Amino acid sequence: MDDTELIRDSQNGDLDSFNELVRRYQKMAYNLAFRMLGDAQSADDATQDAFISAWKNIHRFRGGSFKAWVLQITANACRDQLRRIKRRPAIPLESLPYDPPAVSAESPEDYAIRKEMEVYVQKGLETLPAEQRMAVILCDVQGLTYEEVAKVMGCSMGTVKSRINRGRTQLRDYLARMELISPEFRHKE
Amino acid sequence: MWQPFARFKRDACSETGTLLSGYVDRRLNPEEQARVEEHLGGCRRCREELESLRAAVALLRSLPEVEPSRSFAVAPTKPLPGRAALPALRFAVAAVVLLLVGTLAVDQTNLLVGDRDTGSYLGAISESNGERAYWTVDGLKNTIIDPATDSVETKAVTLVVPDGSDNAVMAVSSLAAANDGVLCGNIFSTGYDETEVVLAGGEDQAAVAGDVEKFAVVDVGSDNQSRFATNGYTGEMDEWDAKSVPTLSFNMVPLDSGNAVLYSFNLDEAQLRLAEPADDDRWLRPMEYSLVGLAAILAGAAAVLWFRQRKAKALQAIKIRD
Repeated sequence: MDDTELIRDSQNGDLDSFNELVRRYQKMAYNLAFRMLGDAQSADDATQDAFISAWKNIHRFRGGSFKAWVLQITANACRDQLRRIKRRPAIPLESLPYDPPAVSAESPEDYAIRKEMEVYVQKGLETLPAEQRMAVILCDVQGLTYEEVAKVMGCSMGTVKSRINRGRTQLRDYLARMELISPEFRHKE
Repeated sequence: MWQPFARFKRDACSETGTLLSGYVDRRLNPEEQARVEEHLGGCRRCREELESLRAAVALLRSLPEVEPSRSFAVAPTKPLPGRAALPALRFAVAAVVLLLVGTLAVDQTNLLVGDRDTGSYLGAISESNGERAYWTVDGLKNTIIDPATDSVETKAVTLVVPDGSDNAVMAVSSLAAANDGVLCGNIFSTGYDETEVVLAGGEDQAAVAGDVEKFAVVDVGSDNQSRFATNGYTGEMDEWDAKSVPTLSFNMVPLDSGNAVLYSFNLDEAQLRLAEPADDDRWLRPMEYSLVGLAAILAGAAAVLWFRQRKAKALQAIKIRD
């Protein structure tokens, strides 16, 4: 069954159809929440809130990209969660969700390095102001186009470009300070 | 060409810096692309900047997908079990609900309020460029009127209010607070076909640089230079988001210009979130205290009735059993 039918049935009140849509989109939504909020519990709460809100407002979906609509609701749920948290959550290495085991070609050292890199990139993301963080996650982690990012975030194209640029620059500066990118690339003071 | 404001002077490296992401994503227009490539050809620092940016983007793209630990399927809401309640109990519950709703409605619509400004304040998004924190308020519908020709063009303008306070309320009220609505501002191009207006309250020159313009803020639809107020809560539902979006409208008029409107802001689609009201003094009115008290009394009465009914049923059950 393709999404259009499921959406139509959901709008007619069929919760099972809606939950099939949830199954299809929950990983994407959860990943946005997790990268935005930095810990599994908050990401859980935000994702659950997002899908409950999506179910309550399914009749408002008027066509176009359902993926963008879900991401927009998830983005709003993340903003609400951030206001509740009102702090930058720390992310200890041990608390990251379980990763699939390393592929056979990857040595344990490579796996450990890859894991550590992931933690620092996540920490770097969390140093960004929320709107820049979201723009960078949507563009570079979720792979959305600038137009899709503008739609999800509800802002102008110029704002999207500006946030992506400033977010990436600030992340780069953080990674340079952590010497994960070569130090001479540090942003000019 | 109409150029009433001198462009903010940026050196070529700064300008290239703002375009690098667009360059990485191949989203620049041909003219910008050519300018960037020309600059990169002769500037090692910017080439390094580009490489490090690419490295950061590559790291972001290599982030693994996280597997959620559970399903987020929505559970059906359980219908309330039917009960044969006493008519009196039903009445009490209904009355309590009505009173609570009424109290809330009275409070939310400020029915009993005089001139006090107790409505929701517009928040803004806090950003930081590393050195200072400030608030940005994005406007999507901004008309720029050429006072000489009255021609109108629409440009996207990002309104930046360098306030430095944590209080979201200040972002709005500070625009009107200083010098009876007079602001200083600096206008420059961000490099993405976008104009940025940086405002400061009064004479705070530390927040602006380059050419400074002085504006007055006027109510929309009025030529009087006076403090503006938000249009308040319109109650319109955004089509995507269940939350209602408030509006803020005001005009900026250059001083001594004969009130020719220069910038017109209508932030009804703005990226604004409602900040929590600074002081929750909404419950300090006697009428509402008494309504709440009445609701509490009725809730108590309903509870008493409820327990009596349970007791009666329990007694009945015992009787039947015996």
